[in-house]
Amino acid sequence: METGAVFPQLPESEPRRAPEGDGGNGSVDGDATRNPFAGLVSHLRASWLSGKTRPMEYRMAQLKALGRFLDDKKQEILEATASDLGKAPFEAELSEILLCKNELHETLNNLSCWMKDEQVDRNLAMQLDSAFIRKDPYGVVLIIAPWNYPIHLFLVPLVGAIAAGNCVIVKPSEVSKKTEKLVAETLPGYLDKDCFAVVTGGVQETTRLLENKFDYIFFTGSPPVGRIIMTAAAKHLTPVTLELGGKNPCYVSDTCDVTNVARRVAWGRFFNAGQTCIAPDYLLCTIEMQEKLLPALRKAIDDFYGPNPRESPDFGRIVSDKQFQRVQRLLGSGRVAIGGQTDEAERYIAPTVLVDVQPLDPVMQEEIFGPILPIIIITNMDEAIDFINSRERPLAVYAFSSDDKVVNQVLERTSSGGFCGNDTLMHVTLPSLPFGGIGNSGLGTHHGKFSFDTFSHHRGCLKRGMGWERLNAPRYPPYSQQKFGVIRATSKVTRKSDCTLL
Amino acid sequence: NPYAGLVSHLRASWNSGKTRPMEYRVAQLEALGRFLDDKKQEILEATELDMGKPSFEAFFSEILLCKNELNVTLNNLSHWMKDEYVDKNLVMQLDSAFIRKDPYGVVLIIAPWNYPIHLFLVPLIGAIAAGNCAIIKPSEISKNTERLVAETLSCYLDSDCFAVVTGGVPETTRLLENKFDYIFFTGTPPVGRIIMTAAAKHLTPVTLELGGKNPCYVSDTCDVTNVARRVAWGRFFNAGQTCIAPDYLLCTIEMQEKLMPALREAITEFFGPNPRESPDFGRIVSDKQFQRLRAMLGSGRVALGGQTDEAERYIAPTVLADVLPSDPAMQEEIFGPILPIVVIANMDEAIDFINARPRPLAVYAFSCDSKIVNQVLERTSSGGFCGNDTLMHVTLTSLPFGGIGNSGLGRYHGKLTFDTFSHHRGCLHRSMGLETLNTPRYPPYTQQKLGLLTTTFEVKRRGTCTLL
Repeated sequence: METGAVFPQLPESEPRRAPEGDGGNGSVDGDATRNPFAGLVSHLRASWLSGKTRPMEYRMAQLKALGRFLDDKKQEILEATASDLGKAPFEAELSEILLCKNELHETLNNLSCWMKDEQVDRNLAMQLDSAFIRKDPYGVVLIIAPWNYPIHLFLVPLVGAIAAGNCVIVKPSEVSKKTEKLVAETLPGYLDKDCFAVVTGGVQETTRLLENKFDYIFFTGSPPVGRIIMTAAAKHLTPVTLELGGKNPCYVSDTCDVTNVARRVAWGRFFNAGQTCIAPDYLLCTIEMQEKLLPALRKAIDDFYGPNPRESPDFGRIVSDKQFQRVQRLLGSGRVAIGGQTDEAERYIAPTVLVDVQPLDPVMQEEIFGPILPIIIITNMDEAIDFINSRERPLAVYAFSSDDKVVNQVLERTSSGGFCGNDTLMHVTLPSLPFGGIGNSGLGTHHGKFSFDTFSHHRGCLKRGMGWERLNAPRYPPYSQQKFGVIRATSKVTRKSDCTLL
Repeated sequence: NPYAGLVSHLRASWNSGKTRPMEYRVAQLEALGRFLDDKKQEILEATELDMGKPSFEAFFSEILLCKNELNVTLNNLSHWMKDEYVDKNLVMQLDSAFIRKDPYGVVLIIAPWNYPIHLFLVPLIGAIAAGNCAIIKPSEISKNTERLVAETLSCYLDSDCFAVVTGGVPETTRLLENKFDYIFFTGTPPVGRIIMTAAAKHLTPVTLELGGKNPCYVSDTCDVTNVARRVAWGRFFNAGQTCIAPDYLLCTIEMQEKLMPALREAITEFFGPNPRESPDFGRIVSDKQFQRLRAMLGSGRVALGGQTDEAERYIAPTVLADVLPSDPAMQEEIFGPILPIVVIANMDEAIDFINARPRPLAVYAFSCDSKIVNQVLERTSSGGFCGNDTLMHVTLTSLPFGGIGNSGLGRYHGKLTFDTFSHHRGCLHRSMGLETLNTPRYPPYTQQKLGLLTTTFEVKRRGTCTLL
């Protein structure tokens, strides 16, 4: 795209580079005060270039060490997350240990298969050649994790990054302080310090970190910060995965088992005190269904947490004062039908259901990320679908109906990262399903083999013979019709005709 | 925002769902095929006017390869579109778990001038196949092709869902103010950064097919004649204006001595004693590009070729010897019919040289010894790789085509183009009943419940079998 016009100049602070924008596999120079993490990134890059992360045995050893970290530090992880966000040990064990070990085992069980060159179909001209996809690591990758599932959301990507042969910097969230400290102090003891590091800090440190060139950036967090990350990545043409968020709608049709729906929705909404990127964010149903759901939700909450959830050991707390105040403000939307109690000292917000909520209310303007479930009244499924489609594409769409056709319609006519019919959250517990957003809720997918694929470059490779030059003769000038005929015959892909016979 | 109306219109069409049925997509793809058939002559003429592209080359790259991609897609679309069922754990045995392929919505394809039909049409095939609406922005540099596409393509495609936008940098900048659901860009790294930065504002996923200096290592153990022909072909095809062309050679001084006469012979065989008179050798696309290339002829020493004609924008097939890493020809992607040779002492030095530079779109290695080819593959990193030939790896629709690092991100061709333009949506459909299966997960939490959950959810580590 060159017509002589001048393109915007890259910013002055651009570090010194070799021609074409980066020093080969790209370390960045700069003195320590200007770029405090340059030395660390350099060190990891040197380790990567040495090739030590390439052998399968090395990667398996690091992955097994990660497994030992989870086993040895289980108690500390439960305590840290309990301290950070009142996470019930059961929930922590499920999300921070069990699901992580599943990903680890899935990877360890399949790594040798995933790493293999994938042979591909060849055309006539290449029958004697070797054509395959080689899985190469990217190099030095950065994983930035949030506070709500503070082990899981760095560790699961890390499993993929290690499996694919990369070196990694892990940046856990400073908001979940105890977990951050645990990770910073203990994780390096399990992994090869030449290839893996933990960096701590807040916005400022992350900004400095992002001045460096990484070969992949994996970010989980909010959309506004996702934009910042992608803009920073663009300077170095660094590929990214962004696991963001949004308001996950939950449509409940008139044809359903109200008791079951109430339990499954309440579970998804109030797990981790609502601080879950894939939690059902708001309900869409008819006024008749709302009438039925409210008592069912009240019963579910009572079954789960007792008459006073504040006394239940199984219900979490809000992670910080700032988040508490933000979520508390949302209680003013509509009318509190269930719950609504708060305690600032404990950062407790009761499992809450809001009714008479209008689309313009505060609770409908941002991702709730707390234990509040607003109900929006619609008259029918079409209206619900239109409502969903007039808003940003969420990480998950939920639809409850005894009628499969209704579930399928919602799936068909909406667009979201993932989808679950007749339940909440569960689709992300299966490593064989890709997990990721679309539009405002993110880009890229991971879990299971998708994590390995995310962190590896699929390199198209062709190996030909040094001889057999006669086979190449038709392609060389001087060009002729006859030569073209041969080329066409050996390389064309024909349209398979539709067979109209039975 | 001059394009807001157009983007709105396409978005409304997409929201209407008209691009979703397979029959619709097949019809649009078949129309693309008719465009290639009906307009074949015009395409050959336009690309010849734009850069002296020989008809044979245009037929191969702009028609045949495009039709291959079309046919692979038409042959397989119903299969690619299907929901992919996935493995389930114990607790989900009665559920339906699958990956749904959803379109992104309204996508933007920005193409460059060097293969001006191919480089918008092949991505467009995937975009249509995946159910999107698309805006195509062909390059204003290949003026004749741009006009052809702008004037005729819309007659073949549904104008509610597909549009061509023309213009230069200002128009593209305005276009990028709009939110797209995917942006597919082929061009240079600096512009790639601009595109990705613009995309970041809307969290728009991108594929960037960029460029770099593709190294070509020639070991001492090779058939010099064959190597010279294959390298010359790759370098001088389209007068060197190919993103995956071998950009520079790495070999020992002894191999340089042997290669030189072989390259001379190959060039003469291909283009005759005066390539300027050959109908099979192209021209440089613009005066600006011509001057940029001519300035490189001062690097090292002209061993072969070196003649130029400004009026015709002709640069002879040229080989430069004694080139130093600091020379101008080694500072940027050449993108012209000039092949510098950089002398190294051995394979290790060649690999270090390659690894000290930005990762290219392709690495080439020539050797009779397959261990050497494998070493170069193993110890370098690039978009793609070809051993003992040039360019050919991108003609196979089953291989991913894309860059890494400075040479780009994302990949396409064949099914991968469909995958690029579709969102893989993880879906689980459970039963409304069977609530007892869910009870272990609900509070009040107990050890017993945790034990049950673990049993039904866990993925066990398979023991490594040490028996034969």
